[in-house]
Amino acid sequence: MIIASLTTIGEVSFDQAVSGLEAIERVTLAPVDLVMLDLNMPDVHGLEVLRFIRGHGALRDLPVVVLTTRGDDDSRAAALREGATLYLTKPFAPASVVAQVRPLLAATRT
Amino acid sequence: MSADGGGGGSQFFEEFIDDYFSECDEHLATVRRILLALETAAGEPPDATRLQELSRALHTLKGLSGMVGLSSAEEVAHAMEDAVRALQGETSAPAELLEALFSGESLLEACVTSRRDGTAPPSPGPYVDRVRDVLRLLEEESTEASMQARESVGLQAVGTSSHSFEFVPSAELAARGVGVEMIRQRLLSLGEITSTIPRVRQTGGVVFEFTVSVRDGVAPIDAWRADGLSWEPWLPESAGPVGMVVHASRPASAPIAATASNVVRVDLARLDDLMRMVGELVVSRARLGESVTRASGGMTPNAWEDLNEANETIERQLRAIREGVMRIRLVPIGEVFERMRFAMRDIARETGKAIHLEFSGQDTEIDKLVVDRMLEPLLHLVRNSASHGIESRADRIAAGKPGEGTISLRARAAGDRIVLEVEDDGAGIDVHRVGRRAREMGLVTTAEALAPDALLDVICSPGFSTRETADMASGRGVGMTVVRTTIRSLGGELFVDSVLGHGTRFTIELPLTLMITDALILEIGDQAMAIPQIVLREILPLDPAAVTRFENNEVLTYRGRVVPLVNLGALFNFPSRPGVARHVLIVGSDLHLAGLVVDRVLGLREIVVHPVADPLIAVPGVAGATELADGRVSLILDAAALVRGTRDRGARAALRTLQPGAPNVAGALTTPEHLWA
Repeated sequence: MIIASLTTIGEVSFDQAVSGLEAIERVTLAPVDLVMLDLNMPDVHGLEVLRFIRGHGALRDLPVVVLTTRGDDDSRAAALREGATLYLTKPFAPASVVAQVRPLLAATRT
Repeated sequence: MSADGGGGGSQFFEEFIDDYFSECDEHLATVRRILLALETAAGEPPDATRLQELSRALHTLKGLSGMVGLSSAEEVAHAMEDAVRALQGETSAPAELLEALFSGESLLEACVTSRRDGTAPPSPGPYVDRVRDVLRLLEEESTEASMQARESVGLQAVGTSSHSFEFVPSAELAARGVGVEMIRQRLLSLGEITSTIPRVRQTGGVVFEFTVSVRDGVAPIDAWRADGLSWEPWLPESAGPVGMVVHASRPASAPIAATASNVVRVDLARLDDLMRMVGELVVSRARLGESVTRASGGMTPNAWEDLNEANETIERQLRAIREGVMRIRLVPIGEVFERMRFAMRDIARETGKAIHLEFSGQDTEIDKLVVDRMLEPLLHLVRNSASHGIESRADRIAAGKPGEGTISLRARAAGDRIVLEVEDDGAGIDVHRVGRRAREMGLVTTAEALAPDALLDVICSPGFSTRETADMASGRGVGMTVVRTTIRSLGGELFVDSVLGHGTRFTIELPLTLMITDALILEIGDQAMAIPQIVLREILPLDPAAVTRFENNEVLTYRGRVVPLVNLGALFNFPSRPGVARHVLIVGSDLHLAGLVVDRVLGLREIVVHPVADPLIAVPGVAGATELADGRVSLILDAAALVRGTRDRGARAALRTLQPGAPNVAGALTTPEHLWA
């Protein structure tokens, strides 16, 4: 659904990973413009995925939007410390997600 | 693709809500399917792929619900995820855990429905507590059991040895459906994964390093090496059956690949639009056809030949497009059958009866709209069979039947129609009891036994029920009315056969598609009418000598049978042309035939059916309207209703009293815009 809202940005294609490991696999297999990352995932934690992305030379500048139910300051600080570009807490309003993600996408595409 | 999505309003959000509902429906269906599969195989170790698929569906449901702020559904899905996780690695699925998952699914459905209806969602608290309790109990049991086991073998822990595996994903592997999650599942079949480290390779790719505590007696399969997994070979020290994993594991074409399906989801409204456009094209082509026929005189034979051929080619191609679009709308009826299985669990528990559901013809395809509308009626029939039809175990055994009752759901295609059957091997309908009850309620006046059709009319009467008290599943006496009304509104018909002591069978006949059909164009007076070709059995010239007048009704002898005639001109108040050699169209089923008397038969056409939605115009005997090639609007006859009209006197009276309203029909013909409501 959030994906559907992002399609309104323009030509956007999506790939979904069901776990942290799969997320890591996907970003290394094909070029990605933006990652929407859930912290609460089976196997590897979202922060681990973020740490991997930031530790990977080619992916250092990839925008990563962290989506989570955890709205407390500690989680937010931890995610931003690991290099999250944006930190959004549930429930999401699709329109607001679009508004915040659009400039990030525009930046990576130029 | 529009780029103006940023300006969010409530309408913007509402669209996503619709998406949310449809996605939830899909994922809930997955959850139900897997739970049933797990329950069927409850004695075996739960299938890892199934569990993974289940987690995936629940996780998505949780995420989606979070986005729309439906926290109750989010919490329930989360608790269910915990329960699924506990199933992993179990040797059998514990009944209390499965039960908790089943109630979780019902609760999730209730949460989503509440969002849809705008009512308060159920509270997830008690459910979350229940799952926690079940999990804690299981945990205690298993630690107790393993402690006992350890004591009995003298504290000798099950042997494991640590091994490293490396997996390098690639686009080629991903295209085959081989990914890190699948590899992880494979390694889990060997033992416990103690660590997983993703490392960046020099090429920029990634390598996953797994450390697995492998149980004695199992070993990885060499074929896995072809899937990007590598490991140092080792000789299993134990003399256990090394081949075990080989047989237990799945082939490389794992079901994960199947989940990345080629299916595209399309909004039904868009297909309706497409179908409507094709319909308009059919009418335009028919007009072109008429012009071509008329033009034959003013052209050289060769030029006309070419024109005509082109016209005929377009007609063929159009027919192919029409069939193609129609096929897109078709879905297998199996989806609906599967839901019955789920409903049956609840019914079996409520009634305490053992009931086996049997399916055949699940692959039969039927229009999506029809499938959706038929869900409730089918559910009702199945519930009826379970609660009224199937007897208690003791009664069944006393009657010499197997203790477990069987309800069969069957589907098959028959030409342009679909036949669905719901049959049980229960007690059958007691015709005398129903007849007595019907007389008490004043539904019938005769004392004679009810014929099958009269029986159906009685059980489909509003308010009819032989039950003194209504139970949860059925017995409120409104259901059968709705069942029959729904089926008729789809252009179908319901039949019943019942043998006392042996069971009951409900048969539903439905048209395969609703929109475009081949029809015979008739003329009655100066009005053209259409009748779908599929209902026609035969067309005869009307021989006035063969018609007998019988108690104010005309009947015709047809193939040794007496067939009531319906004079359409008189029925619809269209003055018949004098001196025309009229025709009789024989319509109906083997049991009930009727002859429709018309002035002229103009020919066979493809027509686009527009249902008459306006209740002021809806008239028994008229199924809808269509636009003919010359632009005239014509009514489509509802043959089933006309046959019914000759069958029972009540409806006959209704058809007779329709006459004062008949000018309305004629009026509608001259003001066609009323029909497109």
